[in-house]
Amino acid sequence: MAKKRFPVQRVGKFYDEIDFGIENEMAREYVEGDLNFVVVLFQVDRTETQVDDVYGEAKPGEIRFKAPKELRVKLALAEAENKSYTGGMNRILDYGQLTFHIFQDQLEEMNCDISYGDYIGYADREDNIKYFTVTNDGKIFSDNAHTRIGYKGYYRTIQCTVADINEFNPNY
Amino acid sequence: MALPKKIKKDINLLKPKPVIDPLRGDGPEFHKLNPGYLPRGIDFADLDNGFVDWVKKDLNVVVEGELVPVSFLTAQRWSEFTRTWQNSDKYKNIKIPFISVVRNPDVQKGTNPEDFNIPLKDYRIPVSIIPTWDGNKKGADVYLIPQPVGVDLTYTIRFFTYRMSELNILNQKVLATFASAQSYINIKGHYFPVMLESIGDESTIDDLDNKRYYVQTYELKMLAYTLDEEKFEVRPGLERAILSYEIMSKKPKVVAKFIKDEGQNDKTINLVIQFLAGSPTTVTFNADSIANFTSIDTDNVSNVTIYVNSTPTSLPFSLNLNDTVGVSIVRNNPAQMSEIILRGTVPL
Repeated sequence: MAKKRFPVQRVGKFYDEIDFGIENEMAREYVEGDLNFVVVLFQVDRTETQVDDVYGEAKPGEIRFKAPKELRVKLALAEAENKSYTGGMNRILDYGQLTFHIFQDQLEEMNCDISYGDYIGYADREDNIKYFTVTNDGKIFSDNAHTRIGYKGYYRTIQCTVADINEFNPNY
Repeated sequence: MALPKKIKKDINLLKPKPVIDPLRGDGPEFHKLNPGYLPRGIDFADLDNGFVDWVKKDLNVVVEGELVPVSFLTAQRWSEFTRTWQNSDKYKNIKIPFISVVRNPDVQKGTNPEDFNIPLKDYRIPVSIIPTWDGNKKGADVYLIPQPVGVDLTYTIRFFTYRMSELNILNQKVLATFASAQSYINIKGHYFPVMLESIGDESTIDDLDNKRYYVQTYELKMLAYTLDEEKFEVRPGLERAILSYEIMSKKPKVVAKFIKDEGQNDKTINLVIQFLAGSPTTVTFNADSIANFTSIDTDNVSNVTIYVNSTPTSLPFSLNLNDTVGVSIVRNNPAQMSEIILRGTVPL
């Protein structure tokens, strides 16, 4: 059944789909061509992943993910925070939050989506890739900041936090 | 005159040098070799070490076939690293799951009534009396220990994990261990009760944007005591000197002998009677010769009485064959031999 579509006619006197498309392409060229920050999306296969019957928890070797996909994004990696697990003991210095912006068009072109709980790999050095898990998949991106003059949203902001090796170990 | 045989003549009257057991005493080496004589000393480090060992043994958790590591942590930073590096990732962060044990630095006065003290300073309790033998004397050493000092130690066990199913394992173990209100820890032979004070939760599951994991806390109080090994004491107790006597098995006999000199014309005969030191002062024998005795010589004798056929007789007197002769003397010095020589002749 065909999906019902709703044409966007906002600010139509001076801005339309063609203008939106041109600006979108220019912006994507800047992010995906010029910046070229690459993250790897490990989209959890929610069908194949084995989970505990009661709690729905998966052990490290039980998480199945779809074929990793390289996404070009505009990212910001927060400073590592020196803290303790709890009670001032068991110090931990781990990566800060990873926040990146990605064009929705890119996700659609690559036939993928980023969901809460998916894993993101970011190779910050040649010999190291750090894995994060998505804490905010930004699927609602119609707010003013994510639209161009309110026409329609065109990029998503994804927030991630570190994923422990006990939680996710893809050997990628 | 020769001394009788079988009398020991070389008694060593010098005091022999006592053979002291080099391990005897209250030194640490002695205690190590004789653990049964004294309880083992116990201090805070022993208590902490014993508690962590108990956690590892009785509250262990196995996840994916691997034992969840248990670390006893203190405030020193590098110390924490040395405890956890084996279970850390490539960024040197300790990997979840793990168990940490932290002791509250404030130790409280012991509340276990069994550990209340007798209010005497330096009072020591005898715990055992051990027989000793130094080669000369038989005695006993009394082993004393100071009064244990009661102390309450509070430990916080934290279990870090990502999964509820792993949390269940430890929760079940803890509740089963303390189903009877308290459990016991054996530390160096001392049994200490442990009470489960509370079970808490410091999980970070409320924080949506950061790493989330479960942190279950168990606060346990150990009602322990310390025992200062430096104040152990081994005090010599009763000693019993062994005096030995050498007693001759045979009492000396009186010797009576007729000595005839038949080479002379007058056929003289002497009757020699020797009363050895310690021998009876009376002797009775039968005459094996006919004789007329006319004189007597004595040595170490103050008085002598002679009986012939039970009739007191005085010199001179005659003896027929098989007459019964009895001689009774009174010695001057009982420690020396007495001798009587009766001199006479044999009738022709």
